[in-house]
Amino acid sequence: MDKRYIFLALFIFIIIFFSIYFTINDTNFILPEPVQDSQQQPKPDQELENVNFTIYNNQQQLRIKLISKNVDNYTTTAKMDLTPFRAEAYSLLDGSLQYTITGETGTYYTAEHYLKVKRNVELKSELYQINSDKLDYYLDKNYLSGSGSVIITGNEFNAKADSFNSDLKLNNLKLIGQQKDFKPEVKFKEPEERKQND
Amino acid sequence: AAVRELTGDKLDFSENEQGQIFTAVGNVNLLYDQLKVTAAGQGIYYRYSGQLDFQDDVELFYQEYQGAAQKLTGNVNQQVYHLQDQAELTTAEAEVSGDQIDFYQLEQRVEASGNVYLKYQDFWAEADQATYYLDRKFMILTGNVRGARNGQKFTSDSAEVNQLTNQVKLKGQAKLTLPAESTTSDSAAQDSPSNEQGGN
Repeated sequence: MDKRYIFLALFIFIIIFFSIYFTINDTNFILPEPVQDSQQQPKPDQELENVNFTIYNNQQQLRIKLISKNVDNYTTTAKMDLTPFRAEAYSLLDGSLQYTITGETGTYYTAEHYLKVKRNVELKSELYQINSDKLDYYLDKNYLSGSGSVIITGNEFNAKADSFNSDLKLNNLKLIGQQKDFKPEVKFKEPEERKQND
Repeated sequence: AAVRELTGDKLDFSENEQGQIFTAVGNVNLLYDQLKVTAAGQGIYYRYSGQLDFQDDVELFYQEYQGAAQKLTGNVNQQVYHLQDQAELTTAEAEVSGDQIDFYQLEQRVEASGNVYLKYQDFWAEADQATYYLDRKFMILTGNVRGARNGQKFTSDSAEVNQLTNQVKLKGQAKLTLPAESTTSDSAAQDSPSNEQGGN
């Protein structure tokens, strides 16, 4: 093959090489940072065991004792993860136990002053018992909201729903059904039934 | 134990000084012992008083009675139900419709008012009001009564119908028109039993 063609090919190759080289340099080609695994929670500031502490709900005149075997305290994000979760609410007036909330896990948001409890959640009071998958309790607003196989067992009626919300005395209770073939239901207990159960 | 339950797309429970109030919205279904009331719109059950307030395509089922209307109010304790607006009530043998039908369950009595239409077997009649004694199978129609049976047409101020004896008694301005092959008998009957038209 003619020498001139070889030199021409070589010349073109050199030009291409240098143009790529300079292009890379200009754009500061930075390899992407390794994507941080969102699952990796930030490390708690404190990991505590066998803890119980008290928070106050002055609006409801309640003293609430939170009890757990394992508490991860995140001071920066103002939250505490309790596993398992247990809360006992006592009246500030006469010290009587008003209700208990239990669940496999729960979080207390210290700034917003609300509790989020998950998995096998059970709220027990003298008037009724609520079982659900999740429960949010907004302490200052006297507002409960729960979802997932909600079952309410009361002195005067039993109820089922996909989700509910109400105040702590179960007043203004709203039962909602999300699934097509399931409707929220209330079964009334009449006096004679209540006597049998007492 | 008695079945007493309420279902719906959404359920609200609230309590005031008088007592508990249950509100169901959408596909409402109330079961109360032998009574069943359904509604497409909304149903409120005032538990402390037994009062009911149901709206939109309401249906009532009790033993062999079946009612329908756009609105139902009533009371499960007193067992009284008022069907309003396109009201109908069918029993095993008869059917009644009107603007309003009041069903007095305990007394086995039905009262219908406004554009009343009543039918059983081959008898039908229209009137302003009607009272139907279910246990005695006895009906009283009043106001602009008009109807027919077996081809015999009648009009009167009021009429009494005894289903047991199959007897129809017309009162006040009674007029009976027999089928075409026999003559019309006009009788300006004033309230006298003699003007009753016995059935055959």
